Amino acid sequence: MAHVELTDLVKEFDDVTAVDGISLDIPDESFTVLVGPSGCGKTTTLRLIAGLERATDGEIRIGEDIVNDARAYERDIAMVFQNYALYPHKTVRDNMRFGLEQHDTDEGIITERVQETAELLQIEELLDRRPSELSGGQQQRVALGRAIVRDPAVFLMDEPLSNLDAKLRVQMRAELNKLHEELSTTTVYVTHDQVEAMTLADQIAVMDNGQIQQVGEPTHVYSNPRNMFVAGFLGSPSMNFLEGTLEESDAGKFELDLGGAIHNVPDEFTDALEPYLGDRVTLGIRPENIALNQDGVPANVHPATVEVVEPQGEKTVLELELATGQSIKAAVDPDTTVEMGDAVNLRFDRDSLQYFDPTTGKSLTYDTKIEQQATI
Amino acid sequence: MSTKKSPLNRLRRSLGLDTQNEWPSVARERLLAYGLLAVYVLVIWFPIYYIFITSIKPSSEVLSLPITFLPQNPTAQNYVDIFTNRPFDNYTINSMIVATTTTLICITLGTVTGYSFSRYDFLGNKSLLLSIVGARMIPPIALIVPFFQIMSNPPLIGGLTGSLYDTRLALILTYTFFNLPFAVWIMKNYFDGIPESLDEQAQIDGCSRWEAFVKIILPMAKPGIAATAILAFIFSWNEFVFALVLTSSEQAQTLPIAVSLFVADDFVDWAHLAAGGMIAALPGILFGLFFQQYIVSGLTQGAVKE
Amino acid sequence: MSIEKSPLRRKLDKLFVPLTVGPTLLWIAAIIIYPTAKLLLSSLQFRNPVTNEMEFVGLRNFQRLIFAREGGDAALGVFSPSFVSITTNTVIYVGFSVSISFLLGLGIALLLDKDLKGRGWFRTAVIVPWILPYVMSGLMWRWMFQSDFGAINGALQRLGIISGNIPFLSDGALAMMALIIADVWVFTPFIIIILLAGLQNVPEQLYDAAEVDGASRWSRFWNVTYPFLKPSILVALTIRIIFDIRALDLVWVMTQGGPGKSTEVWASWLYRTAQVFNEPGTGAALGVVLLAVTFAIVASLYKIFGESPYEA
Repeated sequence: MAHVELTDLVKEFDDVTAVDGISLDIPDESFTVLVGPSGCGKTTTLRLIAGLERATDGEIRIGEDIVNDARAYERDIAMVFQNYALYPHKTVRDNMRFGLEQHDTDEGIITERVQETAELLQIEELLDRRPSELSGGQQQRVALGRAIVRDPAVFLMDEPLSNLDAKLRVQMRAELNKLHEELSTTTVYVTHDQVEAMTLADQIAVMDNGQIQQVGEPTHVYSNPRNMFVAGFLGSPSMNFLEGTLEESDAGKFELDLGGAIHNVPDEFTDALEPYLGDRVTLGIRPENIALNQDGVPANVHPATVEVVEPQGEKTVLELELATGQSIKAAVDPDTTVEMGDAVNLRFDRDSLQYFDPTTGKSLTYDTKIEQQATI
Repeated sequence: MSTKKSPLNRLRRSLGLDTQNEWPSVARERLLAYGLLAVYVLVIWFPIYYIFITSIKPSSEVLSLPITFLPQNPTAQNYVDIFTNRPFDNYTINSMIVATTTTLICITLGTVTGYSFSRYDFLGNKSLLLSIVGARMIPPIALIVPFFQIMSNPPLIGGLTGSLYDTRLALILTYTFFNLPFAVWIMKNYFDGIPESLDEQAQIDGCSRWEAFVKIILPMAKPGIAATAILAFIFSWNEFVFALVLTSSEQAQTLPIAVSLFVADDFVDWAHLAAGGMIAALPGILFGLFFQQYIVSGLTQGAVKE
Repeated sequence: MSIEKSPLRRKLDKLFVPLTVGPTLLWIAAIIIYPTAKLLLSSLQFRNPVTNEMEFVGLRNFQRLIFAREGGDAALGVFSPSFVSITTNTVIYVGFSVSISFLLGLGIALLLDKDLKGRGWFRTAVIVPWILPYVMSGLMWRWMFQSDFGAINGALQRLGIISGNIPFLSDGALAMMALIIADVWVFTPFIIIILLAGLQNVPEQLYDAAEVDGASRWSRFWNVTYPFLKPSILVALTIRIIFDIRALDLVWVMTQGGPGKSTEVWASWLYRTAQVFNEPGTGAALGVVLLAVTFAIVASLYKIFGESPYEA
């Protein structure tokens, strides 16, 4: 068991900087997920921790040791690859034994550990088969088993579930959660799938352009994104962004002119938004925080036309066009009966509103919201 | 329904010629394909058949008219003769030693070098590989003059060994030169097909580069190595021109030369030539029959990068 | 498990590439550079028949080979007659052999690509000629074409097509034909293997789509098969041509360039000059020309098709 600490880590390839100075503390026994779009540097970060790549600059610490100069085979880690990387010419048993043998483990202990791990993962009856005789899900388990059997300080997982079909993926997600609870081994997990990240992580690090955009507890990051990238990346369908000009009404209230329609800014953000009066500001609202309003309460109600109705089972996603011409998505109750072309009124949940600087993407209301949460 | 069960119908169905089960045009096309292939195979195998029956005919029958397409008095005498009257045992041993040694050198160097070219980015990786492969374009026959000169009076090691002319070593060195680039190329393409994550997994499991290569990658490359080995063996076993230029006696001459020696200026001893030819052809025929897929895959990897 | 650092392992790891690539590179470099240099040098020398010493003669070897002697016979204006006739023979030999074996190989590859039972057996049977020693194949065909006891004359007579014997190998044109037949027999399997591999690249759905679209067999070949097969065709033709130009084995054991000079090609001319007539300088000059011709052919194919045949 060990914590992992990355400090100002940089990795440059020929002409690209894949990892651009990231610092991240991965506490002992945590399940940390690096999430981001492809090319964001998450896999490179994982490979740097593994020792498969050499860091250009910065420091990697596993436990008490600075491991920058240690090779992969000198670091006490195990890794699960996206394509599982099972040795095709070895049986499942020998796949699991190999790492232990390389570390000169006693024969008795090897046998025992392989048996235990196989039982834990319920793959005992597969032990004498070869990888080619296994289904994708079974190969996945074996790959996990091979990592677990080593009992390393850190597990590194590179999109391990991305090759499974949707149903199996959900099942394995639950199982990974259970395994982590049982083993408590520090885990660094890379994925591009934000749902996977949200469900698995107790710490999530959202990456983009080789940098960490935000770190924290998944739900916290979800509700309090620091910038438009994080806000847009987490959540499906993703957050709606509406850009407008911030103005002060005659009554001294702040309002956003969305190009015809007026959106009233809640009072608690007045201080935070004050410097932006007269400037462009982006309003962010998640689809699930938009309701169809029949009552016609005037505040923050926006008329819109239904363009597409997409029932997804547990919810129905609507694509709508605002009177201003901007398009917006809303996730509503599946019982809602609307049809294409219907005119509806949309109400934005005032507690879920976020405001961003459209040029830098920075959240303007992050600090205010954190303070608020602290007082509650 | 009852007719469906007759053996003829079952055969027809399994060959995909059953018009009940296939579109008639598809079945017809397939039948035509079987027919054409069968004719082609018969035609190209006929010469092999003819030289084979020549080898088991007594010399008198070979040179008598009308010629026979079925041997009247099959005999193994020609085979016995070439091993007793001529040093075919020496020729065979020479061929074995030369082909085997060449093959071993080629697969050893070809495998390690091919692996490095597949996995590592080093200075000039691509241009080095291209020049290795480009070496194949040099027509060997253009080099018979320098090779003859070099082997007769080898530089550097000349003082130690004297002339290499008419030695098996000369042939081994020459054949390695011609086969090594090909071996590197096939193996490089083969390793390209093995995911690099396996090397990495091996490192994570505690292997150094060498251990990962020897313990994990090499065992997986067996089919590629087999293909390379078979092709290198066949090429060296069959080579004629350099053997002709670089050897002159039974201490180094190989089977292809031995077979050509049956041709005298005016007279060819066809019966014994046929027997010698069959001996020389034997490994090729056996490899072809039993390891066809390796030959195909090796040649494909070597010629067409996937 | 703590982190163990082992300097030796690391050191060996650092040397992985040099140790694995070095020997091969040295070997190939030494054995290319030295003989090639030697070839170029020899091509500028002439062995004095009296002293047996190699004397520097500049480009005289090339001049003697290619151009007509002053006052002597000339072909096409300035070229020496033997240069022109041998080059013509080479073009005929390579041209016919390559095109016939290509068409035949393409046909067989297309048949073998069909969903047939016993395809593996057919493939094996079809490949064998290419694996046999060329010498043995050449002598085998010489035996087949032998005028008194050869199988071809025998079979033709038995079928009542001819009454006398046809002296295949002692007639210039017939000898060339026999040579081409043997060459086609030996090398068609190579074309088959390469094209069959190329055919694997054609996505099955495209055939289905073409069939649904009602494309004729001909249009299916041109619009579906051919585009995917093109790289393999290029490779097959390139290798086939450059290997046929350099191939000596068949010619040497079947006709030795005869009768007369009617089947003399570049390769046999080179061998005869260098080894039989013991004129290493002239032979080396021929080697240089052959090298240049090979590179010119590869380069022009590369230019025409816009990609390296080795990277297709």
